[in-house]
Amino acid sequence: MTWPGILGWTVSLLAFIKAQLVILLLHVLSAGPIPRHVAFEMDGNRRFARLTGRRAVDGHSDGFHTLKQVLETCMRLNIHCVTVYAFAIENFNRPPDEVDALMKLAEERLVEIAQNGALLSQYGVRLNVLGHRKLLPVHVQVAIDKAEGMTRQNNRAILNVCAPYASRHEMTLAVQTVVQQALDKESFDSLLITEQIIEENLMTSLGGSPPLDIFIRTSGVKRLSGFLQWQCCENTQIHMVNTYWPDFGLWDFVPILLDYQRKVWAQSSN
Amino acid sequence: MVASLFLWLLHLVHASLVFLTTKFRKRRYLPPQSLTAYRSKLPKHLAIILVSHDAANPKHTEELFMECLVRVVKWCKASGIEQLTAYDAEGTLLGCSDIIKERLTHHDGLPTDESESEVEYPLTPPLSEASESRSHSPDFGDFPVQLNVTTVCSFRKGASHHRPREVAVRRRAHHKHSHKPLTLHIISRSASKAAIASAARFLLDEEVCRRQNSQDLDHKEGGLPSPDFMIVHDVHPQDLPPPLELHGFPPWQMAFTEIHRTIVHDVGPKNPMASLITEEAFCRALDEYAGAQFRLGR
Repeated sequence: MTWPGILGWTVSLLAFIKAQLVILLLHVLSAGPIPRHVAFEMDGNRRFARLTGRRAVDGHSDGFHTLKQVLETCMRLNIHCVTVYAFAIENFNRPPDEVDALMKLAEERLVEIAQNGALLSQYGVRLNVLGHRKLLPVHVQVAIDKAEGMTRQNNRAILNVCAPYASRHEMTLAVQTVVQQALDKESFDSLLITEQIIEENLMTSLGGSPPLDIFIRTSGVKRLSGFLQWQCCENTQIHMVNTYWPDFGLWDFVPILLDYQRKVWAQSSN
Repeated sequence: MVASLFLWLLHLVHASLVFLTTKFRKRRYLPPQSLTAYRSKLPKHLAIILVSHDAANPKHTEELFMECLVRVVKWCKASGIEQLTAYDAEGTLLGCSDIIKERLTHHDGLPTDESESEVEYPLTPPLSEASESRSHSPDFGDFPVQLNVTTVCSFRKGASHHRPREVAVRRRAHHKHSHKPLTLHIISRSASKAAIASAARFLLDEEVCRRQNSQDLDHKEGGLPSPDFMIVHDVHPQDLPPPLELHGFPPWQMAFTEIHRTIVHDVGPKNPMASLITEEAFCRALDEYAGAQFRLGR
């Protein structure tokens, strides 16, 4: 056997052992409380790319790869709902070529992960794209409809992709919907409008998402930046991690899950 | 069973690592800049969330919250921050707003000149102010809805008089930030999601009355402007602090608020003052805000 052959065999063996250790770790974690709903604000793709002298669009591509890995981890842990912030309404202010590249990425990759045999069908994940869809180019809207259609029958888990999204827009829409529903039903007793009714009409709730347990923002920025403000302002653990999104992995995620478990156990003992 | 045992071991290892790294980081903390030092960015509107996990001693919690607030008001005035929102979920501060008013009136922690501060309450639910923080913030307007915001405006006595006072001007030059008026908003969870529900009820009532098209919530907001910066402070710190939570702070206002959590350096019965927010912690927070980058979607 030649040296390259031995090296290749060793690398494969190490990769296999690593994969088995990850499976074991996830199995151990699953013995404790698992969050129902985790949100990721996937920040830092462009800065990650700049670190290696590449273009912003390459960082977004790396970020999509990380999204698939993190999503798979969440599915293996039986996290019922994952929400990701893919594109903010304010992101239309970015350079046009970057916006076009992001639209192209969304168009191609959403359909890719929704296809038969791909990640979403493998784990029975229903895709919901949340946001002000009319702001997107028509070809992207068509791709979203197609991807959502492919996964509509899935019911084991939910992936919410927020694009283009802004929390204030979501809250405004929920309030408008509630008011319009009351007018349509000719139910003019405004006391019937409660926080609960508004919460039920948020985009996340309409898609079947449970309350948000964990909110994670990467890249060290310590703001919500218009993501899930209603959902995360109460009873949600917020983690602002310094890692750029393409680098986010188990090393960052496991401590977050352990913190969640500590909270659930503390609440049970109280 | 075996998995549970391994999970317990994992938690033990994690807790030990967090404890050790926290202790190691404490030794390496550099002192922050002083309160009145120059900072490239200063929040125009600061929010402070006061947190307590001690439901058994509400009186003690009330005292801690009030003392923290009085301190933060003093530091805001000294550093030039113009608006402060104080929030606690249970409404402890709202419940003792009269006592707070009295303490702020009598508090004298600043170098003085001929002017004195006097506290003035607006007579009606407070008018909203246009937020200067972000171009994305919606326009504010009058909004006759119960938004549960108590606003205390601190004015300088004689501010409406325009007599030239040369001695006062000379003195004032040495205290660049020391006497800027401060607007204090005191809120609780009732100003949070409940306020949005209240706004929705108003819209329905208005619609029923006027039979117009439903209006955009963006143009119907009022009562509490968005803070630029938020400090979360737990008056009962723990060795292994739990992750940050926002305890029901008004969600509408938090879109672009920079969030900071105070770090407690010494926790335990040896240091009973650990519960109160320190000037060092406040300055460290301001230093962090000054270093934050705002891309606003770009």
